[in-house]
Amino acid sequence: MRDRFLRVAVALLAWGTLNASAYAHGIHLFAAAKGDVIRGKVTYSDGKPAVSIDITVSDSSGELVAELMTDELGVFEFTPTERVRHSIVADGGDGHRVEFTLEAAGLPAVTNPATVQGNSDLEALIHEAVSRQINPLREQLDVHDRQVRIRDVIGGIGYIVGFMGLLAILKTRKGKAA
Amino acid sequence: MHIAEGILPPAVLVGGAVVAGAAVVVGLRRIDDENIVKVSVLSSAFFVASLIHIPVGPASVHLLMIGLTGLLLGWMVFPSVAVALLLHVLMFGFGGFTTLGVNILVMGLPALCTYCAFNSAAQRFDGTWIFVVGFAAGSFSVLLGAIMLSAILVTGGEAFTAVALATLLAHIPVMAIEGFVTGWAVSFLRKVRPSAFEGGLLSTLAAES
Repeated sequence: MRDRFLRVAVALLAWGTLNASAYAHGIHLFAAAKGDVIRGKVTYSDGKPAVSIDITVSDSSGELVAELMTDELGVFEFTPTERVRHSIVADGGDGHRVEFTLEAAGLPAVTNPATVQGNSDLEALIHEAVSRQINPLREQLDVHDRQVRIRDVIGGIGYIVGFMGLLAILKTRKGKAA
Repeated sequence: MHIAEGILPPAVLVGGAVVAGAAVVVGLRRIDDENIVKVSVLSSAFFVASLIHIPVGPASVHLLMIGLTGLLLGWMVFPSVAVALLLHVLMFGFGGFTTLGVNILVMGLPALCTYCAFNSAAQRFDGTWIFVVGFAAGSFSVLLGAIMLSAILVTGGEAFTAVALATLLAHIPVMAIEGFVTGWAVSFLRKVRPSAFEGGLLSTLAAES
């Protein structure tokens, strides 16, 4: 590539690609049951907590369960009253919106262990202990899943170049026919 | 800014898709053998730019590059941005399929306005002044983009002034950074490849045929 313009452009593109280590722009929500309570965290794509975001929780029939906001750590909590599927929506108000579904199976069998005796106590304790260990892992997995990797960026650029090449071929054919 | 699914009313989504589709077709007609490389490189630049984060206080914003893209491409900015935004949705889940049309317009219209406002100046000036033109183009495009985003969000039910103010404030650092980046890029191009600024407007096409 003798063309200096192209050389610099490609160099810049490569620099930009290699530096795109942070995820790109969006809003993310992860929620899990922690004992009695469902605890959720809303973050921006680069991991920063999303503060004062509107959270709307509805159950499987679409009825409103809770309406709250995230605190300074991007965290929100609410207590589910039934063991059903919950749908949680975070709306950032600036065009960013994300939905997260928490399945019924993820909630403890008894949602109010203080009022029930015997085996249910033990079950609730086990659930609490297990979720304390597993939840951070699930959060990590969620973050890992949506990470933007260099190969994604390179792939995208490849698609662009390919599409433009196709366009060029089509234009040339049309030119010959005319 | 990528507007996510489920915020805007269907009428806005459909209208946006139709207008964006028409704009892309207009832009496609303008692409020929000479400027396809330019379109391709700038499309890739726009694609990557959104991944570069700039921390702004508690949150962060990302580069847009629509100033430079608009200045160099004119109408061709629409297909260029459309391809990049489609890949953003497909590969990273930014924005949505239904909002693709609207997102193309939010990025493309400020770019086109930047072309109309600054392209002739860019082809006339040199030295320090070309940097100023580039800086103005970069900041102006982001300002217009923020305004356009706020206007679109209003149709989704937000209170205009609150959203507009918040969006503009968040984008002031981006305006500055984009200004510098565009200013530098434009001065470089003016020296190395002055022909890069040509070819974005339909009237040139008519004159050639």
